[in-house]
Amino acid sequence: MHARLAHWIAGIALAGGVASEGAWAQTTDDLFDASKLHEIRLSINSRDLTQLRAQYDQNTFYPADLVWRGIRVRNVGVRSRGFGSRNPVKLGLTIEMDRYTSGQQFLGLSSLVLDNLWQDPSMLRQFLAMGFLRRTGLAAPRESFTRVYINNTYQGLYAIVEDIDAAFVARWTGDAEGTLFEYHWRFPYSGEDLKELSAYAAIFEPRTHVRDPVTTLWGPIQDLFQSVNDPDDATWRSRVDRFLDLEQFVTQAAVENYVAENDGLLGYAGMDNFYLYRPSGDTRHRVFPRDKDNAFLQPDFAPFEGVDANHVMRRALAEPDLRALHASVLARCAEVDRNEQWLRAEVERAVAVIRAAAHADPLKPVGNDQFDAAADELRDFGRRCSEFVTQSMLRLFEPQVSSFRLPVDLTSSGRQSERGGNGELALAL
Amino acid sequence: MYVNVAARRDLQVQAGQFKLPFGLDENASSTKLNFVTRTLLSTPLTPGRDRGVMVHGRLLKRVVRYELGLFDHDGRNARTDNPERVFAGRTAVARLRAAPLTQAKGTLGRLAEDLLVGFAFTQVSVPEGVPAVRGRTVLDAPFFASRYYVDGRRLRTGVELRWRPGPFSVESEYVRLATERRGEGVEDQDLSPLVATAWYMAGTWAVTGERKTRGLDTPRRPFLQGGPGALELAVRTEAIAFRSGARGEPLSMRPRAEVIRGNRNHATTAGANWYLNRWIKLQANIVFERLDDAELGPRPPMRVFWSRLLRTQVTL
Repeated sequence: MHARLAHWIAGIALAGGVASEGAWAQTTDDLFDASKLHEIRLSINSRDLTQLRAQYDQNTFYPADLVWRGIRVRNVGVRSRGFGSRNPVKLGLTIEMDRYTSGQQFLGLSSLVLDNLWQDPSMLRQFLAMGFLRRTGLAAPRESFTRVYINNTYQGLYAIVEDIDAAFVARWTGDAEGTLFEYHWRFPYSGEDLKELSAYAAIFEPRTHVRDPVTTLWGPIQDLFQSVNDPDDATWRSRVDRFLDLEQFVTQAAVENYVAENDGLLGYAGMDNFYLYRPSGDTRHRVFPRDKDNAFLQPDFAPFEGVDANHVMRRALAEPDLRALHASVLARCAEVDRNEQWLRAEVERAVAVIRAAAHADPLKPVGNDQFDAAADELRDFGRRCSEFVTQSMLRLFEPQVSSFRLPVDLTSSGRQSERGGNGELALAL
Repeated sequence: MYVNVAARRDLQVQAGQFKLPFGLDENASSTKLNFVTRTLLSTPLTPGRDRGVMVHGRLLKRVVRYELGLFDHDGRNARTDNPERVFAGRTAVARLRAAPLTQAKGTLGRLAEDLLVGFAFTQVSVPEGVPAVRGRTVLDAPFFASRYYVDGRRLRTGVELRWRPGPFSVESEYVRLATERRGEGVEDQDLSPLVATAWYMAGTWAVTGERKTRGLDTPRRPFLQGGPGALELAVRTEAIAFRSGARGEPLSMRPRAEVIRGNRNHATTAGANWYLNRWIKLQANIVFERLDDAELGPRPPMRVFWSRLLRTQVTL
């Protein structure tokens, strides 16, 4: 009798374990595993969905349930997102896990972005650009691809994008207590001194510490851009260094230049698509990249494009070591592409994962032929870009430069360190 | 403004704008209140005034009183934050009250002739939208927001009791308001109804000996006319709670949550009423309130509130 009871108990426990293993064993690494095509299902009340599509230009949240690999997250908040990509047909979505339920997380994430890949016929540009940024050791959101269903209707291929929030910052910097700002493009801004705190408040939206006083939030940002525009060249470096990690800024700008990002830190219409972060107890800001749908614009994108127009970069590159750093990062990016065929390999891997889902995407704004053609273009982008940048750098620096110290982690062979790199590498052109 | 046609004692017709016959405290005149404020349940859970028609009367030698009405909407108290929104549709109301011992003789008759027990309900169809039922503290600070979508039938049920033997009085009420949420789930499924429940129990004692049924507003010995006026002590304890019909899931504040993050307020009021003469009445109350969920309250994390209220009433 006892043996039979024990047998039943063991059987029940085993069944329970198997049933729940799939849900509990998952991590963000699984969610952002780009080697697999994921599937996310959202349930949204039909009235809310109608409203969401009708008012796609607003940031109103609607309640929803999210299901991924058998994990159901209830009571999440969903809203339309995007700037140029925002549309009522294939909705770009931001999902906040704790919008309605305090402290709720999904695999440790409190928010998630479902990028509708609307502006990029290849659907790959942002994925590749962020991957390349991480390959260079810079902090950049992780991404993977997913089929998205809303109320059991296929909405097409989306990218799951790690949201830049306190958890993201903590993962890359080890500091979870600082103040994170999302930059909003309101007008062409290239780092001028805007004079008023309110002007900075209009473009730098705090994502953490939102209730801090105005002077606490935007005072250091005002100090930063006042320093950037200080006419005294002799003290410029030391003054700006107090408010901005110049090496990190220059490095990110250089990589963005390499991947032909025309809408980033040195964008065609001023700075755009970045977050600004100020560590706790410090005034030294750093930047994080976002939205790279417009990267890989053209292989012969000038490696110094946008430098002169940007008040930070123009003055920074007047400093010999920062100018050398910029050049070294560009050269090393070219080397990575040349030696590893990084971009081609990534394109091949990603296309294998997404092609069927992209072809079946009923809401994408381009045809399947255009998708295939755009992916083909990217296959060859790395080689051509690498050659162009290398030649450009050689023309500029060959007489003077033999080696640089490179403060970014390009040493690993394709695997990014979890916390970002801080190693150094001697570079020979 | 309304017109009442009293053709017979057992059949009268009233039409116009007046309070729906639901709620003992809500239907009391503001000059007859035993406390500075009405009960927690009065404004949020009872309908208040609206336009309609009602038949009413007394039956069985005034032992039974009935009120049956049909009104345009759910009453002023059910207004949403958005003044453009209607507050529900046509509302049916029924109220039945009985004074079972009104004909009793002797001591029992003297003690219990005023005993009144009643039951009432309202039914209305609520259009899709927010429920317009909000939780507010005694001083009108919000502790439960009206953010959950509803759609369907709203049913109020109320039980009331009043007894005023000699210089004492006891009043109590219980109200339950349930509003359906048809098709309001994220998969268009029905959700459990939103439920608000409230009760109170109040007692008074005319220290100067006036009979409560006759009212204290004409003191036996008015102030400055050889007497102290009429002095009455009062105490009331009450609670109001908001929740969803379902349980068993994490609480959520999303508009379509099956299990909502409700809240409850428990208040106790002690006070004194001083009727100086037939025109002037002074009231002083001290109120102690305690919220279950302080984070939803007006000043988180403050859970407990003390309030002191004074009121001067001049009646001409």
